Amino acid sequence: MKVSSQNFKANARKALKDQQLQTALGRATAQFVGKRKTAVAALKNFEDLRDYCAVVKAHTLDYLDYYLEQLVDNVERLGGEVHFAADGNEANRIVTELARANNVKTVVKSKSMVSEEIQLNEALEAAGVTPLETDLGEYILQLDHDAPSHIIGPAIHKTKEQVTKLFHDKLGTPLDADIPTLTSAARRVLRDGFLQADMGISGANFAVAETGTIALVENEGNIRLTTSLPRMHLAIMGLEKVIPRLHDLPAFLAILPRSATGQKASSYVSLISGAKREDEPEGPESFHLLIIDNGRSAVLADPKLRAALRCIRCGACLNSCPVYQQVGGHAYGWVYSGPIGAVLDPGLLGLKDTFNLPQASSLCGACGEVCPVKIPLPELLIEHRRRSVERGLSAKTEKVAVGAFAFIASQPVLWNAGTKMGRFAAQRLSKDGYLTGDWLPVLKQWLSERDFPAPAKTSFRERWEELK
Amino acid sequence: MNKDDFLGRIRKALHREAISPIEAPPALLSPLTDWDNAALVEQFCDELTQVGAQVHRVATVKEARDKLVQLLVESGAKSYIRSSDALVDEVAEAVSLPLAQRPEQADIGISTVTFGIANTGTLVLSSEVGRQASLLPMTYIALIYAEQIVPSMTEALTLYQRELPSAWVQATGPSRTADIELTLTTGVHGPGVVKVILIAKH
Ligand code: SF4
Repeated sequence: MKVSSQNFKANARKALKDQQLQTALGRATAQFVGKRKTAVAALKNFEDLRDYCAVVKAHTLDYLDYYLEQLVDNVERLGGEVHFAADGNEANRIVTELARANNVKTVVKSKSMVSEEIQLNEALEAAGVTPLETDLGEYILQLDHDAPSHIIGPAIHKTKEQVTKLFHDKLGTPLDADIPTLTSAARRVLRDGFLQADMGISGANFAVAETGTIALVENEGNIRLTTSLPRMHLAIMGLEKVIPRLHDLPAFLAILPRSATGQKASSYVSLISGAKREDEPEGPESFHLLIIDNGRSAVLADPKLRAALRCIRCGACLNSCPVYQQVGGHAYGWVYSGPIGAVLDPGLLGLKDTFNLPQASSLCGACGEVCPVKIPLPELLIEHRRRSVERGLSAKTEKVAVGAFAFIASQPVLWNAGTKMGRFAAQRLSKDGYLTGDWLPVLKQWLSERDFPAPAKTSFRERWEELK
Repeated sequence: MNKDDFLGRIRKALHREAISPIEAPPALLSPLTDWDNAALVEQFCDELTQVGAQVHRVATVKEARDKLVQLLVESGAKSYIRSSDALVDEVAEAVSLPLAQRPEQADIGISTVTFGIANTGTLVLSSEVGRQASLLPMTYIALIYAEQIVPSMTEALTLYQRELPSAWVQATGPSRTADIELTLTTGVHGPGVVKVILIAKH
């Protein structure tokens, strides 16, 4: 995906005017938020598991060289081949070279955000290899030459009507087809793709250092097919995906689906340890693992930002974010959107082209509350803002806040979302009805000189709506 | 980039040397060592039903044989594929349906599982007996003994005590997607129908 984060404001304005997008986004995020809430409440020890996972991830990152080396040794012990890429170009070169050397003509892919990050499909096509996206959402986007807008539901910005029209044009399904009909049409086309493909490319949700195992989480079954049918399997991972032990997995597998879709367990979890063994009847003949840096070691080197690499890509912070809910993923201009995008994109791409993203937040704190690995997202957003000012990317703190404020205030929907969340934050910061928090850069100055009454729980506009 | 350069970059980012020691990782959550199997069986069946799978409880292998024949007849399937292991040999003995010429043509797949996980209604599928029977056909029938049911994934991993197979798959219910307007649809890539024959006695 090409970077267009510089244009956040223009992108956001466009998104706010797009009626279909607003309908699709509203439905999707509301549903995700509700399901997550129920699933989390139903698990007694959710908070304990969350603490555990946060600590395990933080520990692994602090000793990442050790765990990566252990992972590599174990993958090799199982007969796999491990490749390393410093950046996207090198990664693409490795994959296309691997395809060429093994006479690979077609590739089936399961969802991989890092492959979007490096624009692998474009590189494969340029090398004469046909990539086929097999996750239903990703397949829809590939047919429509569109990009993912959410890490869990890549096509949530599309309405059913848009998909029906697209499938009618590309696959010849009737214009009044229902969703099961569309789904089975995709199954037929993609199944042929699986049977013909020479190589399957998957991502990796977790990589277990102790055993050399790649864990993949999904609902559709396309990952099982990708990792089982073609004669080669290549898994691509960012260097931060390692966890130490096999027995760490159950905790992560308990919090991930609950945070993502509100499921107790995803339909399929595949633990892949190398290629088919000699005494096994079916499976790929070879296994490759590609580990990609692409800006991550710089984030790792930054003691404040390092925590962002704990992310397990559950999407909960996106769904809970009042800005994401209104503008959607595309406005952020890169693969990772919402609060984690606003934290990670500046880390991976540099602040110069992305400093707008951390401004686009009402600092309501919702993202930090839902994150299953306890990344302090609001703090990191503030850190980016501070650095933007320091580097002269945007002027004084207050001016930045006012700039963002002016933008948000000029968009009625954002204004409504923002005031709601702003009041929520203020309630939490206030004591005895007065704002006490001094960690917000703008408030700090204000509050040093005055007491500021905490805003009412509901705004006049909301009460007016209720009264009408 | 080669491995040493790649790890070198990471060491530099962390200000560590190649032989720097590491702190011990956090203590693991400990597995349960004993449990009430009867209660687990009930929980397993409940969870399976909740995720949209069908459970057929039988007392013996002989009853499982009859149940399988009945399920195959009812389904109207024309051919099937199966995993290669002793329990399937025994149970599928009476099946008169032909094996599919090519696996992708089969209407039904039958296999055994390695464990049943009670707290999520999950079947643990191992590549030791093959991958396709539980994956390619639209209907999948799993065979499991009650004694194979464990409380959670942790106990399954603990009891396995061998190197993992090339693919250890935890399957919970049918294949599903919600990629079009978050509307739940089953059978998008894997089986849309999952039936479990649960055999009480070994
Ligand atoms: S930052 Fe946390 S909440 Fe957001 S996607 Fe990552 S793990 Fe999920």
